[in-house]
Amino acid sequence: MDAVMTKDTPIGKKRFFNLELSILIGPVTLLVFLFTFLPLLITLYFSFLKLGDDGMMTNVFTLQNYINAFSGAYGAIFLRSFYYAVQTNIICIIIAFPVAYYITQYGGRWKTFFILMMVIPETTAVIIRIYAVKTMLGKIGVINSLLMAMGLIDSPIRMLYSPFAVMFGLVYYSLPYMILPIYAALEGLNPALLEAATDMGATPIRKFFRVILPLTKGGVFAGTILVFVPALGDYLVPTFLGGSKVMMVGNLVTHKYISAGDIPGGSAFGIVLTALLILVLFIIIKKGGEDALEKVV
Amino acid sequence: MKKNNILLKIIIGLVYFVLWVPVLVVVIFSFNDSKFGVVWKKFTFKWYRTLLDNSALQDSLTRSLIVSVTVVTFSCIIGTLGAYGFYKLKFRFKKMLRIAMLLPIVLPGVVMGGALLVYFQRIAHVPLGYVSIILAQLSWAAPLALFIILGRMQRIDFSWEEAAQDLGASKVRTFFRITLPLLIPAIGASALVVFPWSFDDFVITYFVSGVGNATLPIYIFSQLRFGSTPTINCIGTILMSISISLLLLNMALENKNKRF
Amino acid sequence: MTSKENHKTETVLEIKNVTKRFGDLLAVDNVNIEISKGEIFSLLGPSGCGKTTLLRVVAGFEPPDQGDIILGGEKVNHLPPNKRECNIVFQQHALFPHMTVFDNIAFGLVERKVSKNEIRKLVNEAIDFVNLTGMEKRYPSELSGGEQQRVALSRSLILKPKILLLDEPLAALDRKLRKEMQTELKRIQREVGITFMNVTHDQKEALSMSDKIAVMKDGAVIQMGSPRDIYEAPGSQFVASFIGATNIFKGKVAAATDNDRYELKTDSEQTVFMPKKNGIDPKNITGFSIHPELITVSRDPADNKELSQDQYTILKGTVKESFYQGEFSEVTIEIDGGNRDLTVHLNRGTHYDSSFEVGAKVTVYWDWKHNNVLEAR
Repeated sequence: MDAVMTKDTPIGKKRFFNLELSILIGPVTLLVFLFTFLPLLITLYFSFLKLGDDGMMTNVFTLQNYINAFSGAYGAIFLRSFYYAVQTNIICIIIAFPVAYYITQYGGRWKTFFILMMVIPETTAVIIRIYAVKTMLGKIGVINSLLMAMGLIDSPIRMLYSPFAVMFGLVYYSLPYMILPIYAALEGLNPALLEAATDMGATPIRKFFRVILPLTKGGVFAGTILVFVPALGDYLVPTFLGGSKVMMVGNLVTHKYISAGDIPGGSAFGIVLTALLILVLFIIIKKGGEDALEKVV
Repeated sequence: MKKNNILLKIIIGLVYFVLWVPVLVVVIFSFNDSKFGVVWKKFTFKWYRTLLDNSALQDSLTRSLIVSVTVVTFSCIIGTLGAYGFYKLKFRFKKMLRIAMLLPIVLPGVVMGGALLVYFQRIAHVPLGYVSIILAQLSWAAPLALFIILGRMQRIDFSWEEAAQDLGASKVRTFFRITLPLLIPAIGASALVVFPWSFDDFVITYFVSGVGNATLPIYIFSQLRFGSTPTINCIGTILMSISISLLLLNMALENKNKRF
Repeated sequence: MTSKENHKTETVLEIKNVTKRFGDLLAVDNVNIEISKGEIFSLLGPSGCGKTTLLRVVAGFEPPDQGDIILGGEKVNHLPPNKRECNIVFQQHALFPHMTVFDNIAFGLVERKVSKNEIRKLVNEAIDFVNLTGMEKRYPSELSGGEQQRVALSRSLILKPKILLLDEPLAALDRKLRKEMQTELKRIQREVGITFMNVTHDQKEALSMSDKIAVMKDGAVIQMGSPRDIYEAPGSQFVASFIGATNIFKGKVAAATDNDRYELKTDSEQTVFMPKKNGIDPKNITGFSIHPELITVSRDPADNKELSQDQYTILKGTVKESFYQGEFSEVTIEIDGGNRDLTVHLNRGTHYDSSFEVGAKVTVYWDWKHNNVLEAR
């Protein structure tokens, strides 16, 4: 209560320690500081330490871990991950627009149904979903069985453990996250604008690039954030669908920490991944607006 | 335009087909009397029955439930308090804090997982197990809950709070009698988002759970490592049904609360 | 709930030298107001004039930067809103949507830890008093605008505050409802004997309801008085044009010819008489205003009445526009050589046979004693 203020307390004087503020904001701040911020700082610290020959960390400072990150096989993995994430993003955008467009234009009363049908597969645990993809792509999976049953092929196609499988998996589980924001953006579009464009003689293609795309920019950016970020650092998809043949950063970092016990290495790779992500996010926010991130949430 | 229409329909059909087929396969073959393959043999419940005898599975399930319920509870409390603070108070580091809180949500699981593992083991000396898992998940669940609740707070008109104060309620009483009841839909929504994320979480939990403290996703993972079994289909089916029910529940609640 | 004690001289609320700033914006500028017990006092002004801010300062939601709020003889600056003995009826009612009508009204009593039986008795009395019997279990979303208003009113009245603050209470209601609520408010006030401070931008509402009005502009009170004073004798151009349709003539005093009048030379070179009033410095006079309903219009050539310049201000002009409003006609007349328009309201009762078509040449005249002096303020 406000019992501390008396008749003579001048109004407007701010107390140094604000109880109200501490109770409300305190817990969250503490949480984030202790369990996100500090650990990251520690990671940063460790990333500069040298790993001794005996497998234990030494106190020697070195940049070797970072050099490793950018060279040779590791560097290639980083690059590949980035490339996959970008590809996933683009593919998702390309698929998302027609789907979202269809739902807004022709959905009518069934719009909610369509959205629901899209979201429900997403509600299953990620791990289950990725396993499910395996059942589709495997040698005895759905696609192969179907194709063989239709007589189109004689022996099963090798789909798993390939870049294709990884891309498929990434797109599969990212797609709804791109469709939904774009759908929301399309719904918000004033249909009169499209009609005006057609009225003035725009072909569908021009209509898309000159009217629809700019106006749904927000949705595209939101979707990109939702797709690119998880895709870049994903662990499960490359593990299950890529095997040891197709490694991404996620596998790499995990491997370093857990299998190889190389904390400095894992830390450095993690930091590089984070830096990469923050860079990309920064660019996206610059182009898409500062509160794009929060809108996403 | 007609041509476009057909093309569109094909694309849509394909997309939904691809989205659903894996899921349907899992469900259907959880009832299939066959060890592997997608050849249908006959309908059976036997794989479901084996679940009942599987103590490792049940352990991990219990662990997952305990963790998720705890995480949801605390993230809702911390998130509500934080959202309220953000919405009503002005303080110096507001902008910075806001961005800082986006960090745990945005960072990849492998980075945070590794960071927390090292942190827990070497710096904070937190035992790997329930405590570490809960804390690790809370670090992104609480900010997430905060943002969801904060987002919905924008829709509430807080002159109700002023009315309550005018009528004699102190700030604390106002919070509990007026604000909190009005925030329940928002809190519910955040709970319904946090719970699945927490329950399904793999990467961070995998890093910090230590040995032998498997949650359900980790158990599933270890099973899958060594080849798939039909029981996985069963688990998947059950999880899916629960998720769908929660989703429908969420929607029903949304509709009910339109009266404000 | 009757209280007919005559404590008219007892001051319930004193706003003393109150100033409030929001950053660079001076929202309330050194306001001094005294409100007596049982009075209906209105703060009238356009949006942004600071009236709502002042209300909130009185209620305790904003602390004043300077000055004091004295309620019932005690300084309450330091008290938070929940500890002050005044209550607000908000513009949007702010009824708690998750509580029934009964619970809404009982809210303050619950906070005061009144016993359940007592609460039930008081709340039921209150509900009957505002004619909402039978609606206890309803939720605010199920009530009409007028009903919500009454619940909001009850909710505050039941706590028997020293003063009831109303923030544009009738703004959200349609015209018919507004009239009903005005009557209702007046009845309640009379029966309970409670003091009202009402904030509004609607001059008609202020005029019909209040015992006293303070007109505010840019944070300051520029005129305070009874509704009659404000309407019939607005002291400045702002108040004159705010309080209703009026005609404003700008000019400077040329000479004081007689003891009872000034001679004013208007901007359009006309000489007009104005009544001398005590306490007004002729150098401060910026012109005069004359209400449209006080002007008579007759055809030119005149009705052959000999109009004495000594009694009337007389002008000639041409009818520009005529708007039929039912109970009166609003006629706009362009004054010859004056380069200005005069607005006249011809009341149907007194001008039953009159109608003036556009272009008609007319004479307008009125008793110059009605010319209302305007000062620079």
